[in-house]
Amino acid sequence: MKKAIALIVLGLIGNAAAAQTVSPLIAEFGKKISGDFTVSNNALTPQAVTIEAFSFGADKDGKPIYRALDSGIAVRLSETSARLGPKASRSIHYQITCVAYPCEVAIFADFVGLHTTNGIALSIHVPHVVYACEKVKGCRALVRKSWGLDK
Amino acid sequence: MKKILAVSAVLFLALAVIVSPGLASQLSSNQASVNLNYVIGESLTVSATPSTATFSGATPTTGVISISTVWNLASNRSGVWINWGFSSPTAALSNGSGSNIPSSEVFANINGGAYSACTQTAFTNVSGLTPGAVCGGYPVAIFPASPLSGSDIAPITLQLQGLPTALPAGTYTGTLQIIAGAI
Repeated sequence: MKKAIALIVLGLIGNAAAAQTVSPLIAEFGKKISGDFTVSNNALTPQAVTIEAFSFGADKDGKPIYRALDSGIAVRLSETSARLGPKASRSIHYQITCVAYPCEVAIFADFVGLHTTNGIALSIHVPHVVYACEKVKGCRALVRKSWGLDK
Repeated sequence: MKKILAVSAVLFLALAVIVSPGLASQLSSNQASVNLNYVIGESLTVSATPSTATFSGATPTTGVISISTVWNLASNRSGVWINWGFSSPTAALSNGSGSNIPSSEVFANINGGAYSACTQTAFTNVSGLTPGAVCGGYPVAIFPASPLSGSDIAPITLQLQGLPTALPAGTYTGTLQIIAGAI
């Protein structure tokens, strides 16, 4: 009976959803850009996570369009990769310097999927988004207006 | 004796008159208050089940991959988007020995709909999801029409079509990249 239960549990873990959370999602700053976000592994299996930064904009519908980090933006991360145990969380600290403002950076947490020897593995990417302006107040709104959104 | 009683009664009444206004008045202190503060942070959770998928059948097809998105956002956000695809248009799957299956031969559908090739360009150049290798995507929430706290499930299926007959035997593997975000 115990064996059967163990097999069922192992089966469930093997097919378990690799649920990953990023929080908070959006942060606004003035010229001093220093903050944290948390990545969480909600699954019952360990997960490797890598952190990388991108610049981004939006199309006319407000849909994010990510791109390689613009020149003039430097991102310093407390860590660029981590191994999260089951149900574990990790706080990632960042410092960003921008030559020009406003300055937008999407810091992605890339949850690397389980290795598979046959077929398709899954990898999940969720960003923490940073807006920085000359003044923090209304920064995101200012950026969105510059994209032609929220007129 | 009667005099004493009479004087006592008078004194008692006089005392009662003096004291009673004091008793009737209410004592009041300064109003104390405690400011309460509870922050619920914004969050976005993405999961996919099962964690791996295998192609099988005469027309190689995976089982359903359910991509779940759960969000809890502040009131001034615009929406949540999700996309999925591969990191390389020329090698969505590879046998590790130089033979590849391009993303143009991998097709995807959502919720049992029509299959389309994984050759879209959305979500450019991010975290392994490359232009020309995107299978699909859509806004799972657009505010204010959608609730600020909610969930969505995208059941997708992958299928291999148009594979060359000369494709060498071997085990082909790849990684489906799933990207969700709110800006």
